[in-house]
Amino acid sequence: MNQSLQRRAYALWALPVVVLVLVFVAYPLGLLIVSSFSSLSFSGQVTGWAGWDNYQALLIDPALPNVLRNTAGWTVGVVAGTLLISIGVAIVLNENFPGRRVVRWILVIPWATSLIITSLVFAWLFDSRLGTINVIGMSAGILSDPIAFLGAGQTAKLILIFVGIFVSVPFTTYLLLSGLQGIPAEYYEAASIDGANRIRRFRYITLPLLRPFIQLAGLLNAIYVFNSFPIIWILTRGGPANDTQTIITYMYKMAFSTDETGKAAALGTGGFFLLLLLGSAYWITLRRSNRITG
Amino acid sequence: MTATPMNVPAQKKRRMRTRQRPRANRVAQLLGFLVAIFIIAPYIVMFLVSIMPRTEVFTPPLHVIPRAIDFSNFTIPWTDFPLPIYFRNSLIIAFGATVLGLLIAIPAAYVLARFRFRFRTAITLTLLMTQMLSPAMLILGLYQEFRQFGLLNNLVAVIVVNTAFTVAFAVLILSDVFESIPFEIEEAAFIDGASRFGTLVRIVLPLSGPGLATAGLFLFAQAWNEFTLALTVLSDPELTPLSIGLYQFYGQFDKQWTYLFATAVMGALPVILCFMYLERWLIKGLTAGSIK
Repeated sequence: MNQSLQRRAYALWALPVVVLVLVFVAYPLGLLIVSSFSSLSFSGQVTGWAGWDNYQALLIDPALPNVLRNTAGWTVGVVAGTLLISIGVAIVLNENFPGRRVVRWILVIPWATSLIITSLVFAWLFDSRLGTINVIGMSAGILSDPIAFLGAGQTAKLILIFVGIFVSVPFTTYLLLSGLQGIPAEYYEAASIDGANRIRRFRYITLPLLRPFIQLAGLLNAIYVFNSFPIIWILTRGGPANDTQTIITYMYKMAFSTDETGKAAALGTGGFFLLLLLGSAYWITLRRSNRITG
Repeated sequence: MTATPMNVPAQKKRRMRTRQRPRANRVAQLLGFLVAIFIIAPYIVMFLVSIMPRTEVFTPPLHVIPRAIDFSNFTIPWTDFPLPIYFRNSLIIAFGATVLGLLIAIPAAYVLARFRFRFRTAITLTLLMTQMLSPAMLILGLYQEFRQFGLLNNLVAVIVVNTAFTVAFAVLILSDVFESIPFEIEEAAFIDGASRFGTLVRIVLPLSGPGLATAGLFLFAQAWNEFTLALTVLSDPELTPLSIGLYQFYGQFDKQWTYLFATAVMGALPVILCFMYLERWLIKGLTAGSIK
């Protein structure tokens, strides 16, 4: 009994973390949801109850289908590309070779560098006038005129996804690498003795054992990408003409530039519930992988 | 996932070595170097611009490799732009978030690692929830909260919110580290009459060096690089952090790319070097932080 009393006291050691999260994560979340059902003043102050008005206004917004499609395309595109590349890079880095250290050092650069700086670098690379891609393309004679890569919806989307993959690969690779390192070498040796070639060993040993890690990495990446704001805000600001607007950037624009705070809150709340779906998938995967790996 | 100790046991190291296959190494090396070149290329371009004379950037014929080198890009912004203010504010925010984060994450991680108590699952679930959310997603609610409590243009509030969003990761990393420390070591101290707090400070923490450094680095880097919250709640030029300063540089009609990238190099390099220094531990910290 004494023991259990003591134990309850130790729960207090976690109290500061819990309080901080309640006050600065849960409370603003509550404010967001309340705002979505409120009428709001010019400065975003709640002035009264609005029922579903904000949601109605959002649903008839002609930009909404595009925003949702972009969010899905951006998230799926980045996650799929990141996983494909990261699986390859992780397998390469799991091998021993001279210089592996240096490659791993370089791999952490996009991870350690802020998204602002990496986005600015890509803004420069794809700049329509001075950008490195145009400069190289022109001097090599591939391009006759500079291209405004970020000025056209289709190329802008592809470039954003490319940058999203670029900054996601390091984290994902590291996560998969930790999964690879947990696979006992004996499995591969046994398979080799049985005459399994590289491809078969990958297909029947690596892939199944890595699966929980791939799922986790994919989900974490999806959550991260879904939440991501700076890359798009810096490279295109959602433009041209809302062509690259995602839930996050469109919400930000409505809340802080075009004074549609109520609609922004409705969109944010919707975004939160979509995220919750992703989060539940994350939680279920965690549970399942815990069972698999003990 | 089973807890991985921060020190790779000798047995595992040997196992990794036996996996080495001479035939594959050359291929892996080639591919590895290609990946590295691809990843570093944009940053090399950034560095090349940062050492170009200011006018060379837009003087035709345009070129990538500088014809002359001008290091004044690294000094002029310190006097012509409020760079000292940017760096000072970013340092305050990042150090504040690191110290506060570790201070509250350590005890939380310790009880999560050592006890099974009633709210344990609830706390873990809450932490996972916060990992899912970002300041960007909740920015509207955060802005309203800041206005409600008069916290706009307040660096301490920015520190606290940064910590609220990043502390979960630190707790999960650290609880994994603490779990890997055998309880018997602590027990010996209890017999000698040490308190829980005493053993945490004098026994557990000194054994958790790399784990603490990794958690601290994550807290620092996230706050140093944070953008959305600062953009929204800090409008006072005196309180502008580096990330926002760079963004404002970029937003100017007549932007000075050489200054912009020289500043970016100075802002990014310290964090990059720390990441490289702790590279070995990142992988373990990560596994703990995301798989627990």
